[in-house]
Amino acid sequence: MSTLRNFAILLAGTVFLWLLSGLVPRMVGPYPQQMLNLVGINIVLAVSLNLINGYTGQFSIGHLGFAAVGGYASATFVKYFAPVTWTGPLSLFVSLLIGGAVAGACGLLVGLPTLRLRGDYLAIATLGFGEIIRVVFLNIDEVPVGGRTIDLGGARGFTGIPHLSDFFWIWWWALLTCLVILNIVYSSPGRAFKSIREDELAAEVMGVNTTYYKVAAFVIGSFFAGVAGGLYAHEFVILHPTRFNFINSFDIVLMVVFGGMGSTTGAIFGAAFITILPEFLRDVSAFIGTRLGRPELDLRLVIYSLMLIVLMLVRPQGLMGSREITAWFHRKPKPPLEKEGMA
Amino acid sequence: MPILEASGVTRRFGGLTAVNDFNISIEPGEVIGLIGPNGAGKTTAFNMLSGVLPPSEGDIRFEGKSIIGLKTHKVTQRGIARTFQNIRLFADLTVLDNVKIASHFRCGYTMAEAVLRAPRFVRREAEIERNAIDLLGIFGLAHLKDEVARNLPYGEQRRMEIARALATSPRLLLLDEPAAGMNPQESLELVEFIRFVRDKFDLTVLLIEHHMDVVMSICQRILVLDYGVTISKGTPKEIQSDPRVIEAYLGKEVEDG
Repeated sequence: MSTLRNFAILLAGTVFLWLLSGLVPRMVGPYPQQMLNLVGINIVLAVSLNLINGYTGQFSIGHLGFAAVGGYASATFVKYFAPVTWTGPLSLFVSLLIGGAVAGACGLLVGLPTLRLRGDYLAIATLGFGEIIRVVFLNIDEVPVGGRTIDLGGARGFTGIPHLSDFFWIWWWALLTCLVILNIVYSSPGRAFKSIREDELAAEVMGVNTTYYKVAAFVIGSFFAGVAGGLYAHEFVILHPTRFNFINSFDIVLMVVFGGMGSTTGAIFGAAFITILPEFLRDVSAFIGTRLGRPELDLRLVIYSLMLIVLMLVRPQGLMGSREITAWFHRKPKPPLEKEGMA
Repeated sequence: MPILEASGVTRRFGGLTAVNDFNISIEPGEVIGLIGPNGAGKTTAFNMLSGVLPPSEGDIRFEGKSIIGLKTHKVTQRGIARTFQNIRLFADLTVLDNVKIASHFRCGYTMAEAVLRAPRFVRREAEIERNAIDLLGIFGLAHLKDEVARNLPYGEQRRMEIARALATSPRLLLLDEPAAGMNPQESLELVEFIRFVRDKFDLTVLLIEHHMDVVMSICQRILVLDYGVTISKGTPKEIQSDPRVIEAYLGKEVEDG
């Protein structure tokens, strides 16, 4: 793949999304539209978390902490600092870059000391970071900056964010995230990420600077989490700290595990599935409730959990394993391994 | 000038001295054996020479420059490669990717160039691919390049690990029990293979081995460790007749009372 082809894909995707963004409002109502947008945001989150958890083999469960930082930074920029002459898309674009950069900086700050930790310990540290961020935003109300007051809303939530995100921009960033992550993963640095997942000591002995690549994965992942936070802020026009709590953060991990760790297409499926599933289960729950003669029962979480348990029993490697969907298209017969002494 | 020179290298774990006052000087092109009973400190010595473990005392100089304080990946980039006693492949990656990873530090393009699929990325990726396949070809593994490493038979995993180590373009190769788990016939082939690799890649080899036939037939000089102390040094002939070595391996004869 060359530079030209790379940009051609982005251009074709952009044109396609532009056409689609004209069609979608004609085809579905406002609620499904918002679901679609949420799927797009969750794709950005899941695909970027997959770089950390799936490809590099670290276990971060505080991804929404970075999304919160990005969201607040992006919303603050647009509400208080963006020049009034700027158009909506320009403000949005710049604010997303700022949100991503601030979140990426947090990723660096958190990553440097915590990436010495392995497995469970790293998970606990990232969880702690996510909770700290949530509590900080819950308690910061007004911040004086250079003579003016920035109202972050505290427990009331950050309100008055202009509605700048739309179907086109959310899905354009989802596309960009997937392209960037895939291009990284299928390259020499990408192989370095995977070697850390496979065997950190062996990777180091093979000349891979493991500390550098672990921190890099964390920073890149956090950057896109920040972008997703900004898209979220400008779609739902309110940011509330509870939206970024541990339970919701874990949903993103779920999307990655469900889709298959180390598969970008898997993360996309996971994001779509886990976002839409609760909506679908609303009907299923109502159906079962009526049959049982107890329509007031909300069985959504029961069915949801059961489905996840069944999936983990039947397919512990997730929907896609570590394969991409393209593997289905050019499948080739496996050359038989030569077994010794099997004459 | 010796390619590798260790002087007074000592490693302590708490109260235990795993390696005590280890000295070695290897000339380019030599094949040196490191032997000793289990727990003698051979792997600890290897870990220090490959930069995995910092010595408590002493100096290790590679091609005249000290490697003390260097991170492991820097030591590899200087030109020391190693294999592991218990094979440590990137088990879920393909054979080709395993080899490519070992040349990552010379990949010659940045992550940004990878994201943009810049011309340099395209050119270098093609070269990396070609070099990796060439290397696998030398090892007779080219037909297995798309196979996942964990699916390889044991002997091929051993060979593959050496191939991967060589992909870092080392000048010194450290082999930790390359013949472990091999039968006499396979060990014999391994000896030929190590000779071939040394000549082909212009290497200096230091190896830990328990198979005495392997050590005796390939090594020009041998060091014997016991309880962290170097108890003997010399040619295979000298080692075989050294009473201290026999004692370390077989124990002392009980004097009749």
